[in-house]
Order: sequence, then structure tokens, then C-alpha cells
Amino acid sequence: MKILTLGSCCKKSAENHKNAVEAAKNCGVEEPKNIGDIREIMKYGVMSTPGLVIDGKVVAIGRVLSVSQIEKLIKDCLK
Amino acid sequence: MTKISPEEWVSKHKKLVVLLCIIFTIGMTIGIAAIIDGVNGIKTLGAFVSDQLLGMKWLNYLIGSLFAVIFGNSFMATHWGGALQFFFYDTIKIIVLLCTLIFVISYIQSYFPPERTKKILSRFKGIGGNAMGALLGTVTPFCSCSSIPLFMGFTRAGLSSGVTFSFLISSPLVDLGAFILLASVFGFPIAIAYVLVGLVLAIIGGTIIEKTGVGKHVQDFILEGTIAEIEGIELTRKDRLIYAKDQMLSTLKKVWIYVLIGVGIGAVIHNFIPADWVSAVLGQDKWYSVIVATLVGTPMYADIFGTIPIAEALFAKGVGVGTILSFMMSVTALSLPSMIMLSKAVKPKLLFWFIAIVVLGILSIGFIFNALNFLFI
Repeated sequence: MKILTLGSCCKKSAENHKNAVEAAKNCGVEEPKNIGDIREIMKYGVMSTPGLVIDGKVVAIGRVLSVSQIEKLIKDCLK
Repeated sequence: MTKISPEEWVSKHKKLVVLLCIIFTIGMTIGIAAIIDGVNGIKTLGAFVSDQLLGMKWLNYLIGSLFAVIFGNSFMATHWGGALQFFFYDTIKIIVLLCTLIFVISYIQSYFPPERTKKILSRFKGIGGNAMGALLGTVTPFCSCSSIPLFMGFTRAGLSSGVTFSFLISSPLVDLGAFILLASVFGFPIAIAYVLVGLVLAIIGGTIIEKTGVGKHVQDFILEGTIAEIEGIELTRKDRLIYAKDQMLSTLKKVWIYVLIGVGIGAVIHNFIPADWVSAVLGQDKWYSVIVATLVGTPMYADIFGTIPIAEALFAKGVGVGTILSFMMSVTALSLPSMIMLSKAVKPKLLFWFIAIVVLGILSIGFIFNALNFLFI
């Protein structure tokens, strides 16, 4: 499972990434990578960071997700 | 068409029903006010909402009475007593308003993410498109670090520079929150006028930028690379509530210091600075007051909530409505972080004209509102 967090511009993005790392650890999946380059982010069509991408699919945009919210998304994708 | 019972329809369209009920209640209230006292009745109702509901004048009265009991009437009559009362009343009022407003507005805004706005706007062109851009700019939430991706996304989706810039100008300038706040300080007529004028400024600004061709001067990287189209991501009601709560808390954290500073300055103006001094620099009759207000405000950036107490205090000292509006607009419309971001996305020529148009617009609004003062006061 490949998880990407989009955005590295501000506190919100940093918090989102931190939560994603923890959620991934709790679910036993690979640690998420953070994408900061705008051009890379645009490739996903995301205009408001932070964003979350799981296995190439954009699952959340524009808000910071809590650890439990991300865990739920990971579990949904694992099914 | 298959028959559907009323109960089924209501349960299928719950959100619409709630919205209709709210509109109905508001309409009934206005209607009753009109029946009781005609146009005057509506004015009284409006004043009640803006003074007591939003302005919380009852709170001022409560705090004043409470402090009089604690500190004695003679102290309360002094400048210090007045400043203390103002400080407490205004801080509480603004924080309550801030929390309520941000929560409600963020909830509404969760329905208008930039990705969706882009799709909606791609269907419009010309002045109508600029108008839609300006309108959507008021309800689309975006933080300054989104301005580059947003700019890229809009431009690459084929939106004209007019639409994009109308959006960019109206976004920080006109805000549902600003509207309610202005209503709490100045009443609804001025608040509505501010929104309308702000939208017109955004539309005209966007149109000028596009028609003069200045809008083409974007940095090259904006036009490169691929951009995907994503389908809208549906949020559950719980997601929206969490989002609204997060926005409220993070804004509060970010902004409380500006509020305290603003209230502090407001308290000083209110109670310590004589009206003559204020009038000498910013008085209504002084032709340069609008220019001073705008020049002072432009390099500053504070959240609009922080400018409210200053606006209230200046207003009480007799500064013209236009001057105050210019000050508030110049503080909020142009901020250093968003200018830096924008300068990375557009070439210097476009950036210069963007800033110039916004500043000129704010100056005109100031002069116009000062001249039309008699209509509102």
C-alpha cells in the first residue's frame, strides 16, 4: 500500500503528514511519503493542501485528517 | 412521473427542507415587522439584529454594570474605567462572534472546495464569468499557500485571467464573516453595500486585467505539466462538522493575538485619544483621510477580526465610513504572505498591476462611501 501526503507548505500539511505516519504505523503498512513540489501535487489535481493519496487515488483534500480518520481510510483500502 | 408521497419527498430532501424552513422563518419575521410598523418596522428589526444579536450591546451594558459594582461608578466614569469596560466587552464579543462565524461559515464552505469551484467556473466566460468568479471567491476557502496551485489549476482549466483574478481579488476582500462583522459594527445597510462594492471591484479589476492583456504575464511553469481532474470527494456531515471545528480552533489560535492588539488599540482610541486628534488626521471632511487610511493599512496584515475594534473606535470618534472601510479593506485584501506567493506565480508586471488595481479600487470605495455618508448615517 503506497500512501502519499501532499503539501509541505504550512503547519497543516506537517500535521497531516505526522498523523498519516502514525496511522500507517498502527495499521502496519509502509510509511507515507510526503510530496512538497507543487507540480507533483498538481498531477493529482489537488489544489488545496493538505491532501492524502492512497494507492494512486486521492482520498482527501483540503483538510487535516486525524490519526483515526486516516486509519479508517487505510482499513477501507485494505479490504 | 411516479407518485411520491409528501413524507417520502421530505425525507429524501432533508437539507432542502431545512433551508426552506430557515428562509420561511426569516421571511415571516420580516413580514411581521413590516405589518407592525411598515418600513420602519423592518429598519428596527435590522437594527435589533445588528445591535443586540451581533453587536451584543446588552453585553456592554452588563459588563458596565458589573464593573460599576466592583470598581465604583466614579472609576467607571474615568478614561481607565471606560477603557477597561471596552476591552472586556469587545474581546468577549469578538471571540464569540469569531467562533460562531468561523464554524458556520466553514461548514458552508466545505461545500465549495476549490476543485469544485474550478469545475463550476469553467463553464463561464466574459463579465458573467468574472461575476461568478467574484461570487465564488467569497465562499471558497483557501489559504495563501494554496494560491499557486489554485492559480495553476484555474489557468490550466482554461479559465480566463479575468475570472481567475476576479476570484483572487474578491477572496480576501469579501467574506461571509466580514459581512456579519460589518453588520455588527455599522448595521446591515453598510455591510450589504460593502459586499456589493467589493464584488464590483473584483469584477472590474478582473476585467481590466484581462482586457488589457496584462493577465497573460504568468510565470512559465504555470502552463507546463499535467493536471489531473479529480471527481469531487463527498464529505459526510460528521466530516464537515469536524472540519468546521478545526477551522474554528485553528483560526482562533492564529488570530487571538491580533484581536487583543486590535481591542487594545481600539480601547486607547475610544477612551484616551481626543476626537480632535483623530479628526485632524482622519476626519470625514479631510480629503486625504482615505489616502492615509489606505496607505497605513496596505503594508499591514491582520485578520479582519482584529480590525473590527479599531473600526468601532474610529467610527465612534467621527471618522468617515469610507475611511474606515478603506482601512479595513487595505489591511485584509493585500497581505505579505499572499503577495509573496503570488509573485512566484505571476511576472512582476502583472503583480504590479494587480496590486495597483486593488489599491485604486480601495481608494475609490473610500471616497465614494465618504461622499455618500448621508445615506447611511
